[in-house]
Amino acid sequence: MNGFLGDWIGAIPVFAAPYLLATTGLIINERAGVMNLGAEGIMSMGAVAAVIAMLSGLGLPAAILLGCVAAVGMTLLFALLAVVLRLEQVLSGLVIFAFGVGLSGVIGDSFANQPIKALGPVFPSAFAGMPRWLAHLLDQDPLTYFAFILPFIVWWVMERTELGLRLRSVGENAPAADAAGVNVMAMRIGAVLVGGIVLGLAGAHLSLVGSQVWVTGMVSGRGWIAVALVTFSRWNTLRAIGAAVLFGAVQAVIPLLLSSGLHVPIYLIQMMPYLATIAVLAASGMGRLRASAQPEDLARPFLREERR
Amino acid sequence: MTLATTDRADKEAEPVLPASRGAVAVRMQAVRKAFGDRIALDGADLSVAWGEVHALLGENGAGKSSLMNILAGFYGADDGLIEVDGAPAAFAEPKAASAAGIGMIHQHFKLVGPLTVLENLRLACGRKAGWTSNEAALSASQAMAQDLGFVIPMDVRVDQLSVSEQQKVEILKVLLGGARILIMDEPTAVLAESEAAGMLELARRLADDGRAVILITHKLRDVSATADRVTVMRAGKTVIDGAPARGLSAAELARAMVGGETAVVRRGNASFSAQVVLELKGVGTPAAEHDVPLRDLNLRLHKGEILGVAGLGGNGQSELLETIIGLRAPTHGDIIMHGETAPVQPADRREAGLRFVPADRFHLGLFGSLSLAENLAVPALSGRRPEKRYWVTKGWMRGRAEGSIRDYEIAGGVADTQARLLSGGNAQKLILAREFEGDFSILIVHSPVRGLDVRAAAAVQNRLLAAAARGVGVLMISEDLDEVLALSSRVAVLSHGRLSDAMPIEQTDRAELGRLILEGH
Ligand SMILES: Nc1ncnc2c1ncn2[C@@H]1O[C@H](COP(=O)(O)OP(=O)(O)O)[C@@H](O)[C@H]1O
Ligand SMILES: [Mg+2]
Repeated sequence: MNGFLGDWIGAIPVFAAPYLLATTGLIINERAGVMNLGAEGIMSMGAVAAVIAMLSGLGLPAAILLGCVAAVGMTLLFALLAVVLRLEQVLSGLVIFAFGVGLSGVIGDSFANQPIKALGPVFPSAFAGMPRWLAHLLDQDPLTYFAFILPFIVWWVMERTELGLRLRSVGENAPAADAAGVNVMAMRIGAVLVGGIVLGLAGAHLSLVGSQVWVTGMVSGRGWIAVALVTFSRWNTLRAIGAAVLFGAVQAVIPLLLSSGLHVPIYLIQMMPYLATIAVLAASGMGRLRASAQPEDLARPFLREERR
Repeated sequence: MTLATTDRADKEAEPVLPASRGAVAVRMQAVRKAFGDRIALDGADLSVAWGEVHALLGENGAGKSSLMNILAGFYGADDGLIEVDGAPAAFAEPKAASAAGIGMIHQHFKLVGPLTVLENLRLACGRKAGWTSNEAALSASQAMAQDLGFVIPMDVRVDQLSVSEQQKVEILKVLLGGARILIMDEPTAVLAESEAAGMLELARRLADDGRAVILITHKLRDVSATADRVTVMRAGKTVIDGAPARGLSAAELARAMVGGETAVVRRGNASFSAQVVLELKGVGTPAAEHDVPLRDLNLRLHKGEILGVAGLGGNGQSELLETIIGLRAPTHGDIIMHGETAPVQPADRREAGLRFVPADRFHLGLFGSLSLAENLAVPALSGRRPEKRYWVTKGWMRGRAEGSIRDYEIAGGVADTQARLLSGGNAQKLILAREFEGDFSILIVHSPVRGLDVRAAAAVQNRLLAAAARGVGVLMISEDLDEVLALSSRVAVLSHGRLSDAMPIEQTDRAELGRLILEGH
């Protein structure tokens, strides 16, 4: 299991984690009925803010925190447009996407391409006795561990708690939730902000663990892929683990293929995640999974006196 | 009987003391409400006492639901006085009204479809009832359901339940939430006759316990059967304010509702041509999860007759309509229009003279977010007729719409209004206006007057009779036996996907049809 396969398996968690965090964050949004297409921009802000904190000598915890704060800032703007002002959610999301990617480029300009100290493993020596691929697989940094724990927490809250029930009711039928005494707007804003924190973590993971440097535009579509993964995982965070691992595996194989000296055009190899996205969406479309699990009030603003 | 079940619910529900019976529970005075420039309430009054069933009567669009939405905190009043138990009570949100003991069962239920029955109950009353666990919620809910005589599975998704079961969930919801003032918005409109009687009985029982029950309806029969007092609204105003129900005749109530003119339906014509316009020979449809399969169904519809199809909802009515119009392919059997095998595509059947009016007006009938003019123009834009247009202007659509709006007396909207803003009766008239355009020879209607007030219902029924008199064969699928008896030339009964032989209307009666409906054939 060493060699190519071992290297591949060992590398998957780090590549899967940002997808998993972002998908989980978006599922929290969408289960409350808010479609946030700004994920790419919000993740960019998380990634750049974390790097700026590191380069300013603030340390890793502060970097993660700052990544979240920047992401929440963007998310607040989104919540204002989409939930409070009730603008078209697709449009609001696109605005945040463009603004976040643009702004991260501007403020990250003077911090770009400067390597930072990576977020290291939590238990550096704990897996010494194991086969190399297994040690490699299990030995991760705190953000990656968190990424794989969070879906279970979110699932539990969503399916087993009163809070989750209220959140789901808002996403499925906002007028009914309102009639039942749930504050629809507060619930949606809360969901959007919590989702924003998680998107910030996804961004911070990309720059602190993945690349260990800020490069303009480095999120490179992962936010969009996460939007697709929400559908693929049928709005279920546990299924999101499988979806993220699949995409992590595709992504993890790229550097290995590139360094293996295989004679395949480099662009073809780099295109793989996007091709996989198309394949996965087509698969979920064919299974008619979308119709059965999509929250019924997704992307539908709520105003009490408005006829629907 | 007592409705409180657990100790906890007992405390929360605060059963009304018999001493307060007869005292004023709700007083609303000179309430006004406008939506944009449409005035929904123009000085409406209502006064309800503890322990009574108070009927709130009025045509579609009179403002009944708006007034009650204000009482229950869903809408804010622009002006007016609102008191509950003598204290000012303008609720800013439904939660506040519910905390004050007001529970509303809406015309369109407020249930979260993908959640289970129990989850819906927990969502709405978990906090108020103080349920700490799923088990506590389950036992309290089951106890209440049993007490009311409801048989409802608690762990089934609400969207899998029938309409009458969903209504029971709504009732459980408000009672478990401790409602003392109960608003039922047209509870009988969605129910079959036998179920409606049970619902009215329940309203009576709840009032006898000391609650105040407001029963919105436009069925005069509901009033005489159940209500103590009645308030009648017309065009946003109260015209009869809490008169004893016993003292008023049906004719007086009808006159108050519509303002002078009363609605008359002409009787159907028993003689019709021998020419068959539509024939179903041994038609069957596949069994699927939520559908009732049609079983070897035979039917002959003649030129100029109204053939009534009676039966309780959920016995294959929608499936029959969808099969005839071409949305559902039969697994076997033949559909024959004018002596020839019917074309496969719905558009081609329409072309061949078939028109339909579905039960769910906004599902198969109208495009809610399109304007009246656009809705009316749709058929003219499709199909293979020479007048098919490829280029349309707003002016052209508006121009042709205005005639229809006038002829069919569609109120509550102009050519540019979105169709979803229309009340039920006007939406139905809009569908008729569109379907009756041009030449047609076969008309399939399903529950054509469900939820309509007397006048709108009469207008619709008169259109059906006029179509039949012109030679159109009308197949009327209806769950309302009175309607079937009043309009049909012949009648057949649909039960479990099987259709009985059609009988001439004068050779049968209510009792026989009722037996066929309940026991099958
Ligand atoms: N939320 C709303 N938005 C716009 N118009 C409304 C709304 N609710 C009611 N209306 C309008 O107010 C009038 C009264 O409606 P409603 O109270 O539903 O009447 P009823 O219940 O007596 O049939 C109608 O003209 C209706 O179109
Ligand atoms: Mg109404």
